[in-house]
Formats: sequence, structure tokens, C-alpha cells
Amino acid sequence: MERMNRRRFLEISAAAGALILSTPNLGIAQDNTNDSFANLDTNLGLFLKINSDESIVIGYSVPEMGSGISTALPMIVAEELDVDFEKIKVDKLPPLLQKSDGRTPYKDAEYKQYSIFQETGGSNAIRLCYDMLRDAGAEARALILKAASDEFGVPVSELSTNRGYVIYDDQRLSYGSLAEKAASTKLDFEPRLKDPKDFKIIGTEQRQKATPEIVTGKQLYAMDIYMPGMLTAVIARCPYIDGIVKSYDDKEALKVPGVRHIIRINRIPEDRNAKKYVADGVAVIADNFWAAQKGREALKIEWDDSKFAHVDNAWIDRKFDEMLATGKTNIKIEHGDFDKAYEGADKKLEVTYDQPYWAHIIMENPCSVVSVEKNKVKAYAMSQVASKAMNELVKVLPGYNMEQIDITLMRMGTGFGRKDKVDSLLEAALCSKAVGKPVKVIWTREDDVEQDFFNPKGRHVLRGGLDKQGKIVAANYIHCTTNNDFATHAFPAHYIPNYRGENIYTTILPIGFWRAPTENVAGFALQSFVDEMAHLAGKDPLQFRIDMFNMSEGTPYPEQSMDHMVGKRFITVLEMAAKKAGWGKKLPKGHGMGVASFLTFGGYAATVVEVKVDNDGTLTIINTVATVDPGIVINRLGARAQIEGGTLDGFSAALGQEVNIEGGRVINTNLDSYEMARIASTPHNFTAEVTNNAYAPKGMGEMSLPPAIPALCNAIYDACGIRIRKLPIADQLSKAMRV
Amino acid sequence: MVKFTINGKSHTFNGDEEMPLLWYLRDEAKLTGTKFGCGIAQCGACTVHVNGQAQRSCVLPMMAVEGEEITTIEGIGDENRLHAVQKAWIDEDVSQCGYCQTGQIMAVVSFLKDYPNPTDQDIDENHTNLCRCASYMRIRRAIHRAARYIRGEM
Repeated sequence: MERMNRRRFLEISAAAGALILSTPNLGIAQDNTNDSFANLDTNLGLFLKINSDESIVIGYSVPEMGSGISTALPMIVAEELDVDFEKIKVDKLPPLLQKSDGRTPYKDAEYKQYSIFQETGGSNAIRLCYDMLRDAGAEARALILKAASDEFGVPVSELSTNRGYVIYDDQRLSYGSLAEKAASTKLDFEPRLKDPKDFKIIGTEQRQKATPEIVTGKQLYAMDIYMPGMLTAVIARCPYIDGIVKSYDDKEALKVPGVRHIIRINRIPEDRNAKKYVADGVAVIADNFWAAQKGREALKIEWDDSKFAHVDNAWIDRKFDEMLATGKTNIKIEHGDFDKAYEGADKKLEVTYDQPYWAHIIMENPCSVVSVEKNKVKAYAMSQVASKAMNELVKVLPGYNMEQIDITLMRMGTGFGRKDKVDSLLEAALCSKAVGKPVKVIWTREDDVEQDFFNPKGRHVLRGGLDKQGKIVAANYIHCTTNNDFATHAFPAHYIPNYRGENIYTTILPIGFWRAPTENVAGFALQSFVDEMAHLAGKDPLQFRIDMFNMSEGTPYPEQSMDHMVGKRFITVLEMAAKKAGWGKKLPKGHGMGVASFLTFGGYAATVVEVKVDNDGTLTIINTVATVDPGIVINRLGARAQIEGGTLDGFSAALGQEVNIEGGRVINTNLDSYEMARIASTPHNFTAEVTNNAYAPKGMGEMSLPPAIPALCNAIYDACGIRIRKLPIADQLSKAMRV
Repeated sequence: MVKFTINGKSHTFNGDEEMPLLWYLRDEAKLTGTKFGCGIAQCGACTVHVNGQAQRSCVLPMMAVEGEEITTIEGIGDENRLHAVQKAWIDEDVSQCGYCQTGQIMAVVSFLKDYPNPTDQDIDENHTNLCRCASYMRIRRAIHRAARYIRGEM
């Protein structure tokens, strides 16, 4: 995009001596919970405000779910503005939408996101905001410089800036003192961006801005909103896959003290053959959570479970057998002639990897607050995507238009893709509309797991052939899964001359995005497979990978907003991680080291894991090194937090996580039966590293997860010779050791 | 009727005594720093102190708090007077989403009374709160740092 076009979204204004850069806020009512907005024109959303008392507020557009975006995005603005980041306050911008021009990402959306990007997912926030935020900061700095040039009576070219001051010779003026004048200034020159080698904020380590609020309990999440007169709803949702309410009796429930209303919530969409968005159920609306919960326990409901009552995990495994036996796959990528090359290969391997459904276990259960009033709607949402929240909300509130909806996107207690869906928001809207009061819908943990949009269960069939030199000449990847997904371009697709990637799928449980969607399980299968091929070739698993990447400088990778995959960037992260972990050193008995690498949303990641496997099968992760190259790194401290979290999230999934289904419903719906890692399984040695280069910035949230799982499994193989081909690892090692 | 104190202030409760303390704190006292996570004492997001000892408030019925002194995250320190554990959490940049951290901090404040000089093993064996962002590396460092603050070594 042209820089001038990018800057057009900014409007400059003054209020009470402050310079304000703001964004046109078309059609959306104003967020009024936010102090920084107190003096603003109601048609504008704050973007940047420099006050005469030197305080500066930078707005961030993307909702925060824990990836550190509320610190990293303002850092980009602050860099070009040239201010002291420690003194900056940050604040969430309200959603800014405009009428769709027909090119929205969601085909039925009436409104699209405004030119400032407002969603968090796909590790995309930094990637899509970076240029625009630099321009915004540079624009504000240019206005300040212009005002200073009038004050000093010298041209702008004789001025410089440093941490909130304009410097001329031995004199200086603060940004705050120039703010009012800058607001009425017209630029007669093009703002200049900094040379990245002069960056003073981007690439530094900054602590999360929200932490002081968090550690004192002051940070508010959707669950913490209490509107005057608000009631609380707990909903009995049909626990059976694609089931519905057949009949219900609410007599006893209505007797529970504090229960005010009981209403039906109809499945959205009503067609049971279409994917569920909101579950069919009965809502108990009460004075508080406890009364609603007791009321729900007193409901008598008969469910129609007819559609999937026969389903359990073993049934799905047999279904996979049948699907694979048909051979009716969709070919997603093909080059060369796999069948012929495999036929003529010197050594061959055929292996199958299985992985279960995973639940999100978002730390903060789904919860939304909505007040449907006569001429307006106030909503507090947990949503990763501003435009989806808005568009879905108006669909369930006929008669209301976007201008009447005032929505606050709260900080989220994790998201991991679950909060791409706004089902609890729609439930709250339906309840509030029915009872004429503000309603908070709270999901319990059991509700959250049972009604999740899961990471798909899948089976991965890999075949590979080596030539006489031990090089992979043929490979075939068939992904049999419960969602139409396929990691089309994932390594080693483009590095093998004869390759065919195929998928075959069916639909059972509802499916959603889960940290590094598809790549999270493709990483396990493909990077375990490459490891097995290296061992078959009798080669060092690290060198085997490096040799493959050396084959080309840039490899086509036409998805995830990329053009090319650059082999040398892979080699760099692999070598960094391997060096730090001491790859190749002699290990004590029972220890083993494994490596894996993966490309996710444009970020190159490599992980090396050292484990110890005792004679009784007890597994200990001794050391982990995880290295990510996301291009330019904004906040190195925050980036490392994402690497640590993503890697440990991968370990947790690999070690114990599995959704169990029986009789057509999920049965392990809380943390006593759905196993999540705690501090005790966190390795005591863990190095998270980010590279230092000038490639265009990508995100950080997801890159470290896909290689973590296979690196762990490959280390287990190195330690004890047991190859993990089915997740979770659970008690497989102790069972195998006993034999 | 149940009588007790929260952060030094007297409270009385006349409702359903089976209701867990968590929901009194949130829905009645509007002390929302104590979080709902699992409802079965598995995640620790709801951790508060009862007479100075960490307890998971989501399974503690109101009838059990008669005469007890309850302390919540709002009662251990504020931004002008941070508790050593809160300060350590900021200094080690522990938080990602932040949702579980108040419960983590309450658990650690109590833990450090019993283990003023903890080893990693002490932490692994005793600190069981779930952090879904898996900020465990930094939690571990922050516990050691907080212990040093409390011992006056930093």
C-alpha cells in the first residue's frame, strides 16, 4: 500500500491543549468505559494523544489475549514518534468498522474492519499493523517538528528529536508544550521513517504494560463486568454432538431462590446438518451465578441424541480405516511422480501417526455481557475478531443496526483461537432481548470443554523413499482428519522431487482454530517422519535437515501471506538451537536429544529437546532450546514469553491432552480428567531465543508450538528407541518399558 | 447467618450457605480480582487466603468461613504498596493474558511463608496452579525473586 494511502486514516485534532491523532469511527457507537476518550469527538477513536502535561497515550486496535500485542503495537508508534516508552500509557481502541465494500474476509459480513487491523489470530497483528503504525508515529513526530520549527524560527532540517523533546542547538522544547500548536499545523513535507538501524524502542525488551493492573487484581475481563440491574445466565446445552432439546420441565428450577426466568435457546443455525455455532439449550437466568447454577441442576431435560449417539474415539478410528481404504482423497499438492519414484527407491518407510482432539481450555471460560435496550445495545465481549463480533451480533438482533451497537472488546483470559467464535455473546444477546435486562452469560469449565470447537482429531499416513545416497526422493502425505484442513506447503513438500499431499475428511465434533491450526499436528507428523527417514538413511537428524534446506535459496510457499520459504533462515534457527543445546555432545545413559523445525505464519522455528527416560518409563524433559526467526522483533522480552508459552503448550498437549468421547458426548470435561501440564513438568533448563535480522516482521504467538511436539518425540526415540506415533504420550513409555 | 472479614472489613451473609466463597467475593462483594477457572479446585485461579493460608475459594462453602479472616488479591497490596510477590511478578514480566496470575500470586504468598528459601523442587511439589499461557518459566523465577525480596536480599 502507498504510504499516503495508509496515512489517510488519520485525522488530526486538538482538545484541551492536546495533539490528537484519531481514526474515523464510522457507524459505531463510542466506547465510554475508557478514560482517555472523555474529551473526544464521538465520531473519532483515539489513536495517539499528546497532552500538554507531557503525558502520552497510544491506542492499540487489536484485542489482547495474552500475546503481548497491547505492548508491542504501541512500541512501533512510539519508535517513530521518538518518545520514552516507559512513560507511555496504552489504551484499547474501540472497534472501528465501516460498511462493507464487498471485499470482507467473511462473505456474509455487512461491515468490514476499518483500515486499522483489529483481529488477533494467525499471528497476524504485527505483520499487518507494522507499516501503518510506523507511519502514524512518523506523522505525529513531523507535526511536532513543524510546530517546533515555527517556535524556534528555523527550518525543520535543523531540528532533531530525542525521547519526547525537539532539540535545536542547545535548546529543547517538550512535545507536550508543542502539542496544541502541532494540532493546528499543516505539514508541508513528507514525514520520514527512521532507518531501522537507528531504532531505540523496536527490538528492546519491554515489560507488558498491563502487568501492574493484573497483579493487583484491577484488570477487568468480560467476567468482571457488572452492569446495573444485570442478571446472570447459566445455560443447559445439549451435551450430545449435534443433539437438541426434545422436551424440558422447569418447574423445580423456577422454585430455586433467585431464579427469575427460564428460556429456550434455539440452535444456531437451526438446520442440524449445518455446523453448530450456538448449542440448543435452556437458559436459567437468575440474580447471580450460584442461583443460576442451582437452577440449571434442577432442570429436567430430555435430549435428542440420535445423530451421533454411537460415536466414541474408537469408532472414529475405525471410520478413519474405512475412509483410507476407499482411497478417495483430495490431492492438495503434487509434483514429480511419487508412485514411480517410491517404487524405485532404495529404502522405504511407511508410517502412521495419530493424534486426538484437543480442547482449548481457555483460562477464562466463555462469558459475555449484553444489554439490549430500546434504541441501543451495550455489549462486553471476549472476541479475537472485532468485525466478527459485530456482524454476528446484529444477525441475532433483528431491528437493530450497527450504529446502535456499542461494544467493548475486553482483555481476554487467553484465546488460542477459541475466541474467534462469539457464541457466548450471541447467547447473552438472546437472553437480554428476552428478559429486557442486561444479562451476563457464564460458562462453567464443563460447558467450555463439552461445547468447544476442537482441534481436529487426525491420522497422518506418510510414505517415503530414499535413494542410494540416503536422500529422500519420494514422499507421500495423506492426512485423514475430522476437518477439511491440510498443511499443503509444509516442509518437506517442496524439498522432495516426487511428492504428493492428499487429504480425506469427515465431520464429527465442532472444529475451530487452535494455536497454529493444522500446523500443530502436521508438525508432529512431518517432523517425526523426517526424523525417521534420517535414521533410515543412517544420518544425523540435524544434518539431514540442513542438507535438505541447502537445496534452494527460496522455495515457493504461496500461503500464510508468504511468497517464499528461505532455506537459510531455517538453517540459522536450527544451528542456533542445536549449538545452544550442545547437539552432538555425549549424553548420559538414558538421555536423548531430538530436533525439529517448522514454518508457521511466516515464522521459522527450531526446537531441540533433551530428555531422560528411566527404566520404568518415567520421562523427564532435561533441557529445551527453542529458537524463532519472525523477522524484525518488536519486543524481545514479549517474544521470548511467546516462545516459552508456545513450546510448553506443545509439550502439555503431547504429554497428556486428549478429548474422550463416549456415547456421542465429550466425557472428560474438567481439569481432573483433561490433563494439562503444570509447573512440575516444566523443564528446569529452557532457553527461548529470537533472531536478529531485518526481514519484514511476522508474529510470535504460534511459531514455537509445531516443532515442540516432534522435537520431544524425537528426543524420546533417541533416549530409548521408542517411537511415539500416537499422541498423547501418556503412559506409552512405562507400558513399552514393561514389555 | 455467616460472619467473617474480607481484607479486614466485616461482612455478614444471609443467603444459601452452600454457595462457594468465590461467588460471594465476585457477585456480592464485587472483588473481581479472584477468578473463576474450573469450579473444582483444580486450577487455582480462585485462590484466596483463609487466616493467611491459601485456599481455593470455588469449593469453599460460605458455611465454612464463619469467623474466618479472608484475604483476597485486593487485600495484599496495591500499586503504591506492592507486595513483594506482586513486585517480583512485574520485574520478571510474568503475565501474558494475566487471568490466572492473581490466583498464582495468592498461592505463592502463602507458599513462601512455609518455604522462605524454596528450591525448584519445593516449587514443583507445592505450586500446582494452572497457567494456560504456560508462563511457568517466569513464575519459577519470580518465586525465587520474591523470596529474595522478602528475605531482604534485594
